[in-house]
Amino acid sequence: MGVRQTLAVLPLLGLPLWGAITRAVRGTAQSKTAAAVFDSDSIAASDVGASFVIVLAHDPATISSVELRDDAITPPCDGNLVATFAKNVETTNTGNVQISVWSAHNLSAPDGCVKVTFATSVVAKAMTISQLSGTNGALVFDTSATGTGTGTDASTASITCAPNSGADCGWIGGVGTEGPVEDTAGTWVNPNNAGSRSGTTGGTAVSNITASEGYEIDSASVTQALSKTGMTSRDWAAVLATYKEPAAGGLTIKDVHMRGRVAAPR
Amino acid sequence: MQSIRALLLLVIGGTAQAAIVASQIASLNSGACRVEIDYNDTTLAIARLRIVNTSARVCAAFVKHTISLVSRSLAAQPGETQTLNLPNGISFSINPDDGSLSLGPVWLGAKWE
Repeated sequence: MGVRQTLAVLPLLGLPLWGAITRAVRGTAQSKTAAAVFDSDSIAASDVGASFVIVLAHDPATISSVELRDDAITPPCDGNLVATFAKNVETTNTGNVQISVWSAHNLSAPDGCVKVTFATSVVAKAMTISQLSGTNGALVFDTSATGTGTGTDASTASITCAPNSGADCGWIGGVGTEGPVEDTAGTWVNPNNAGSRSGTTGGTAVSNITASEGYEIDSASVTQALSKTGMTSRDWAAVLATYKEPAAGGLTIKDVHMRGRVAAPR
Repeated sequence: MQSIRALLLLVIGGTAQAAIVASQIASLNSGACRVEIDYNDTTLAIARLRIVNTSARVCAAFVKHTISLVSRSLAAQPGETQTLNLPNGISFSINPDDGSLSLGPVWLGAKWE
């Protein structure tokens, strides 16, 4: 048989063969005005196909919806509906503070503003907005955990995120405290990066709510609980959510260039 | 006669009846896994831990008293509702800052994976 050929894999700049999740800040918002609607400011345009993840903390109340709207008319955040966020996880420290994580994935137009609608009027509320992007494709929500308590350290139950082949896990943690933004923020142990932090101020300390976000990107399977230490002692509620990107694809035909010649049979 | 005496005590005493209040403490995967506690609104004792799991994965929860180290955990398989009666001593306290409820040394956790 006389097939001889050589394979030449050309450098594929900007097209990594292994996946990676990146995270970017997209905004924060806080308000202490009693209202059933809570809007963010405009969000800068982001990568098409990206995910937005919202960490939302407030006085305990039912949340009717969290939406991404275009900001042709700002304020208020009343433009056309772009995407509806799904509630990944929520927990309530009864009578004190509630926190939840919401996500929307594979966004075709990831900009605009975030509109939160409560079932009732809410006074103290704060949110952080982050973007997660995966080079293998759109992310999906995977697992979650919660914890509630009182004190200087916050934690949740422990969960595992095992990445798909050649892909990453993205971890988003949120801690809501019944205290002002001037409180000592503390240290993110797990997830191991401090993200955005937003909170209200003024009045008695317990009339305020602060939302703090942590994040981590892992390429290996990790089992961990949220851990944040050294905060001002407050009633707290904590949530932890993981997101996976799809498995890395193999080389496609357009990535492989073949050279060679077919030799005559002997 | 006894029933009249009881009625009089109720009227004169004017003491409100203690009620068991259900409170949702965690909602995972858009409410497919819900964790609730039942507490007595007079004694503030947390009486029960309950999981309502309509998801396709296991849902689990625990409660721990960080001083006495009394802890209990509970897991609900897909489609199950599980309830656990808790021992005495796991109670809310009153926040001195504003008179609101506070978990104090009680730590409540849940997970869905």
